[in-house]
Amino acid sequence: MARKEPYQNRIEFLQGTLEMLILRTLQWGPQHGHGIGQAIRLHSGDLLQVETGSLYPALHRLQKQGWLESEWKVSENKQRAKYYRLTAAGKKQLLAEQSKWELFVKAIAGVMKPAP
Amino acid sequence: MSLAQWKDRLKWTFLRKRAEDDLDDEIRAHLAIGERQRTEAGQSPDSARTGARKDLGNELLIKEATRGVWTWRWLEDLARDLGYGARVLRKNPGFAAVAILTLALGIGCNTAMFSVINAVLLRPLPFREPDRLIYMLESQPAAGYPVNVLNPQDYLDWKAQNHSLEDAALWDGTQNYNASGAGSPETVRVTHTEANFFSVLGVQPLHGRAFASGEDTSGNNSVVMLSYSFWQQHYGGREDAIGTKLLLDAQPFTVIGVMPAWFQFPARAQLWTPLDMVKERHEERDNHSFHAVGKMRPGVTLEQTRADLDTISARLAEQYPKTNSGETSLLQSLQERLTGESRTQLLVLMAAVALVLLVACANVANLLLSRATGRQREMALRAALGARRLRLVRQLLTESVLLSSLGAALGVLLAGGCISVVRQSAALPIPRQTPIQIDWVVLAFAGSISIVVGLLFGMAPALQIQVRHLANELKAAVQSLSAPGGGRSRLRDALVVGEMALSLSLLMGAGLLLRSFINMRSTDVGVVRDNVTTLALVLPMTDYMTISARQNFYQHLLDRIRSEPGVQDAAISLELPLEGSRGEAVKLTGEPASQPTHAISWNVVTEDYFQVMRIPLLAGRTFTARDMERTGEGMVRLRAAQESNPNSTGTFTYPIVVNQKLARTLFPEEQNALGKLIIMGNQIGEVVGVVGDVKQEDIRQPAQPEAFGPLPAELMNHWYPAAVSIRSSTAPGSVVADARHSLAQLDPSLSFFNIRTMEEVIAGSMEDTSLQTAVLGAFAGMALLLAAVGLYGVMAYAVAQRTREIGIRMALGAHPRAVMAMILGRGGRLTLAGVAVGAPAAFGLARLLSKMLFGVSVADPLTFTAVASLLAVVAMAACYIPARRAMRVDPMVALRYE
Repeated sequence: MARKEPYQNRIEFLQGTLEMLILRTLQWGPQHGHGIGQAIRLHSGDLLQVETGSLYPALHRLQKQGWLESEWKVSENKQRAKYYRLTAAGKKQLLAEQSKWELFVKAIAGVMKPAP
Repeated sequence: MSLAQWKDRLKWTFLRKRAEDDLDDEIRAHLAIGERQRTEAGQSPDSARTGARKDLGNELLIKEATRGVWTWRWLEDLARDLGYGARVLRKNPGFAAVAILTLALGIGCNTAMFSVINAVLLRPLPFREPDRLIYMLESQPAAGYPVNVLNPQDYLDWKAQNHSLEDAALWDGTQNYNASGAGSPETVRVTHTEANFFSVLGVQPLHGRAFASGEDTSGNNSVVMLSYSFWQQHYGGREDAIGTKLLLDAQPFTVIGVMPAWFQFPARAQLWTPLDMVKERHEERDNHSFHAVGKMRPGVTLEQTRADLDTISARLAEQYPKTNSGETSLLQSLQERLTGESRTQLLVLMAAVALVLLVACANVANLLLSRATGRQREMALRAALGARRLRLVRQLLTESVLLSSLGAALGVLLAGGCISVVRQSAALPIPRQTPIQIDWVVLAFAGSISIVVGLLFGMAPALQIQVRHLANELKAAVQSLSAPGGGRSRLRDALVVGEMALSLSLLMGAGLLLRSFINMRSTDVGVVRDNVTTLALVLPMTDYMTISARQNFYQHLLDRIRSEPGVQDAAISLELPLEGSRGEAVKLTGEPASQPTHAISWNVVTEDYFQVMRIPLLAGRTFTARDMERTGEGMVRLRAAQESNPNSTGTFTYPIVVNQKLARTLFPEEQNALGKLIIMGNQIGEVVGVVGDVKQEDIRQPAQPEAFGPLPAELMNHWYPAAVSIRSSTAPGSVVADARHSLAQLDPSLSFFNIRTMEEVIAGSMEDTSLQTAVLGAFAGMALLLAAVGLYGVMAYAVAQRTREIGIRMALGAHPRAVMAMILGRGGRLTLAGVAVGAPAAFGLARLLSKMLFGVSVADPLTFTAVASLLAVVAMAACYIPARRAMRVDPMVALRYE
């Protein structure tokens, strides 16, 4: 579904990780699409650049799953934007993804560690 | 697609627009935020805008990708499954055609049958508040009338004194009149009703008006309502028919209204005219010849109404013990009255046609199973690529429902054809106040059975998918030396056995009905039926008022007819065999007044009647011309005496002839009934002869005790049609033209009606059974054909599967005939199993039919043997072609094949 833009000298997202990152980002509070993209870039030290063409489908997919809710609000700069917020189910999903991710990192690290 | 799914899709269409607008807004906001951040960082507005746009990327692509997320997954899947299913069907046109045709046959028959049931049993009568309408009769079992038509005095007392009825309307049995206008005279069926008849039923005329209150009295009642068909035939559907005069028995009646086409109540009535209620109020209390419809007050039940009317009846019995003792009301809902008799028959036929559908289902399931084998690898491959079992099952079920829906669509067309045939054949004994048609109820029925049926036969291949074994399937599909997978073949065998069992029960039902029909045809009615023609005639009261005028006319008519070429004998009677009979309550000499009367059938005839019908004379003599004359004179005297003094106790004795049954029932001790007297009010019959029994009502029932009087004894009842019977040396029917000519010469305003041969009269009494036999026979034939196709399919498949094995057998020296015997043996075993399983079902279905059977027992061994043999022969024929193919297997080709 998510269209991939041509590879641009950045780290490519593993399958499903974008969703996890969105959920994690929204743990800090409701945010609009632009803000979510920026937050991910910021926290990854500019290594992860979220394509808008992946971000919005992912947001809508998460909302359809019932993990996000959305609402039109006016920002502190008086700008209208659609804010996304974690639902209870979304929080639960984030926890599950997180432990799965940790397991995955451990497994990969174990395999990839330099031979003794 | 289910209703809920449609709803979702509809909702989706509405929501989609909103969601798109929302997405547009969201992207616009995204751009605005980006632009603002850039301007705040010091960029010029222009470069901020282009920069934000660049950051965003391809807007169209983003939107498209996001929209992709919205689409309901199942909807896509369904569309994909349907598309795939349609492609699979297109690629196998032979399979698709056979399956769809089979299903169309099954669903079509069921839909047609259901539309009849819907019209007759399910839809309410098209009258206003039909559940409050009741049909009213009387019952007086002690006097020999468990079911009796109404006496108008009793009815009027009910109507005046009851607390449960809102209204009620009286009508009499349909009577025949000579209608004249332009063209040749015609006899028409007229019903006389109380003025409120149409308003009680709640029916409005199509044109003009209904009877006004007060029009049902003498002097005001020369008005007539036309049935739609009469209006079309005689007035060409012109509205200016209203206000014109119509001559009925030479009396002018003003046409005031036309009823809608669907209104046929009472059945077969062509015209309605008002009764003379003033006259009916003075009717004798023992004269029963009316029907009534009552409308219960809201909330009143049938039981309450019955109790209410019976209280009145009990009072009447006290008041008039001679005529009313033991008399009660006999009420039923109008709906039940109009559909009661056909109910059982229709339900039996519906059950039968449902069995045909089951056979069709089993057949298609079998077809799918044999194809499923071919698709096993496809399923295994898809499972290997990650499809879950549920998903594969869903795909198979979608395919089978697609198949059954196509079958249903074709089936509904088929049903439409059947219905238009049914509608045109007026002879069908189906009450039809409501038209038989395919309406939304019928369509909903067809739609739901197609889904149920699709799931039912789709289940068979779906159950066979076992994801865990799919890997083996991938391998196994390569090698097919071994016999086909045991489970699958057993399921297919079971389906074929089931089909044959169902066919056997249908065949048994049809066989039993056929034997009943044959028994009825060969049953002796008591008359020699060939070369007899019957014609009905009504003499209008206006020109033929007196007994002697009527007697003279009939005498002249018979004289003329007798002199026509080819005519051997001619006679007139009140009743014909099997056409029903008039009841008469009689007493014997010496019986006290308190003793109940004997109920007998009563007929009056001219002297040659027994000769024309060839009813054997057993003792004494039949009538002579002299008997006719003397009886006529005596009746004239009796009538005159009664008119001068209504309380006159004078009696008149005339000769009568009785049937054997009456002689044995009323005079059991005596060897000889001759000379005995039978008292019918002020008329006394002296038995001068005993004749053989003739069946009066139903060919399945034994003859009732019957007495025949000379024709003049009943000539006072002017409205009663006379039946002219002619025995000819030429073919029956050849005398009709001459008879018409003779009638026209005597009185050109009269016409014969209801012209039939005696053969047709007898066949008419068996119409029900012959129709049931034909319909059930057709169903059984279809089931048999489908079962044969199913068996053929299984055997052909088995032979194809075992080609290599057969090749090896033959290479090792097996004789081709032994191979053929092997295949036929398998078919034979399946057939035997089918018969064994089907036998209890067959006897079960036969028990449902027991009421319709005649002269054959429910568990008739001969019929069972016959239908089982028929099934076996057809089954063997179906096995023969695959067996031949097996015999012709070339060992070399078969071995090289894989």
